[in-house]
Amino acid sequence: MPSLSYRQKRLLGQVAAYIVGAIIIVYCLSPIAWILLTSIKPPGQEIEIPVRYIPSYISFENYWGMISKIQFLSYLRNSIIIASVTTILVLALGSLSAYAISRLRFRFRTASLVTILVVGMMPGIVMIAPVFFLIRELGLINSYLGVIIPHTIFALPVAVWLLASYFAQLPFDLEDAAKVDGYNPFKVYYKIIMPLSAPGLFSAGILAFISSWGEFMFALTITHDINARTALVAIATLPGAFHLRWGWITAGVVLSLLPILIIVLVFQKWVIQGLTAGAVKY
Amino acid sequence: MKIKLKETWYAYLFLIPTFIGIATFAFFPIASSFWWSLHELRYRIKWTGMPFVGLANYVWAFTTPDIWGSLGYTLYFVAVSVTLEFLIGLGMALAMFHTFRLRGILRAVVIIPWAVPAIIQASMWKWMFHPDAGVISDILMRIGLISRPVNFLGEPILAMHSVILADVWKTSSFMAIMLFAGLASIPQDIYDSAKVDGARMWFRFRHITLPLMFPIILVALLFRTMDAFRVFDLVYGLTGGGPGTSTEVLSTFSYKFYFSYARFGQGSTLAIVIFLIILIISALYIRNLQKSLRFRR
Repeated sequence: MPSLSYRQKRLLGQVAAYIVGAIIIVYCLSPIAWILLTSIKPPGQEIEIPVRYIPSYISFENYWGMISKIQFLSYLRNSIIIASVTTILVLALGSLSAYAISRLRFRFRTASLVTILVVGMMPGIVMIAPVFFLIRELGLINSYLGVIIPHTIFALPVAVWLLASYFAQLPFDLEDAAKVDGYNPFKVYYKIIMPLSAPGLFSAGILAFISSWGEFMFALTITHDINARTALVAIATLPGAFHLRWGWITAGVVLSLLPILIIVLVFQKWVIQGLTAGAVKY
Repeated sequence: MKIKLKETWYAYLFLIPTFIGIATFAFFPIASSFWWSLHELRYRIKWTGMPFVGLANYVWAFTTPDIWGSLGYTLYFVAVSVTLEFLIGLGMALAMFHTFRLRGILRAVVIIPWAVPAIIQASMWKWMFHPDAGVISDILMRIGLISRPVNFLGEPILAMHSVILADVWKTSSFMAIMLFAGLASIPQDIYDSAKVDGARMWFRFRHITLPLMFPIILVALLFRTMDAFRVFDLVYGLTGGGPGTSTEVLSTFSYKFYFSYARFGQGSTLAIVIFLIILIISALYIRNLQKSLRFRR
């Protein structure tokens, strides 16, 4: 190969960069694009052989089927309520614990944090059956609260971890000044720490919402009908007559992905900060 | 002295709600599972007693070929999936890091598979693997690699690898995000001085990038290994463990023993096996995080 001039090398480098970029985009997005394309096909065209790539016209009949026959919007509403309440509970409990661990002096600080973190790593399967019976004892089967409780417990550790590392970075001077003014730790927590921690709370909240929205095993086991089932469980358990209707399934998939993708793309910065906190020091 | 005491009590007060929650809904259930795993516990119309059987369920688990197979597949799934996602994720992270103009777009694109919930991912890939109208078969046919549609999820060896392929799509995106953050945290001047010294690209990657990224690579690999051992949603939604029990991982098998066969003793035993594996990895993981566990004061 003859040696290339600097300009040629640069051009080659740029072309290579765009090709690699295009490969990554296709790799990440084509499965989602295919689902979207299937969902807007007129009835019957989704299962043609050979596969029809471009629908003859755009049809929302699959969406209409999911909404009118399956009442999918009710399931979406359940998902929104469960994930929102979970997020609020996680932030309330998580910020209190994180504040105690990161800024108060007591004997079992590291032990408390490790205990909470370990819970976050435990597999759902080792808890599912006893939790199911516990929730049944409490009379919460097929209720929002029955799903919210386990979702909160499982999303808490990540939030405590994130918030504790966030709180630990805040300057201690403010707190010391406040103590001189006679603030007790609770007042310091909600008057000083919380207002300063909006970005950390935001990251933790988004991750809690995503985790609850996407949780499947507990939502599947604890709910059994439209009164409490989440959207994801509804798609996975479509009644027999519908469970091979791929047009409808893909429409349901698009509807339940939409909120999550919007949140992730709009709040990308916070999501990435939350994901990488602890692993990377910024 | 007075202030110190007060602070301690506030700390406990703040931690109490969280600890009541995790004690009731995490530690108590784990202890119950362990207790159940030592018993023969079945449900037929009503509970059929609860005789203590010691370690008999564990002996059963390690002598039943299906369970062995499931343990084997779980290990295979974890090993292959984590290796592939690491390599693909590293590739994507390096590409994102070096294509300055596309970096913004790529970062937005790469995060998308990570955000797709696993059970949704299962539906998506089940549709793409469809035996008649699957788009993957169709593309392979158009390229000329195969002559008729392949039933990816219908034949054991093929299904085992199709599940891994579907998993890697989502998890490689998580790897890319983590590794990109690691790359971005390396100070640029190290590279600059290496370049001045005439270090070639491969040399820079081998002797600067990799060593400096080692801590984050370790954290990412441990985290993902743990997560891969817990896999449930994807297998449940994509193959349901089939065909036969070829893609059954410990979690899905355990769930079947619980909620399909109502054999809670055996189900708990499988769950405890996963629990023990994860406990070991999480100990390694936390030891690794320990330097960031120490707080001021």
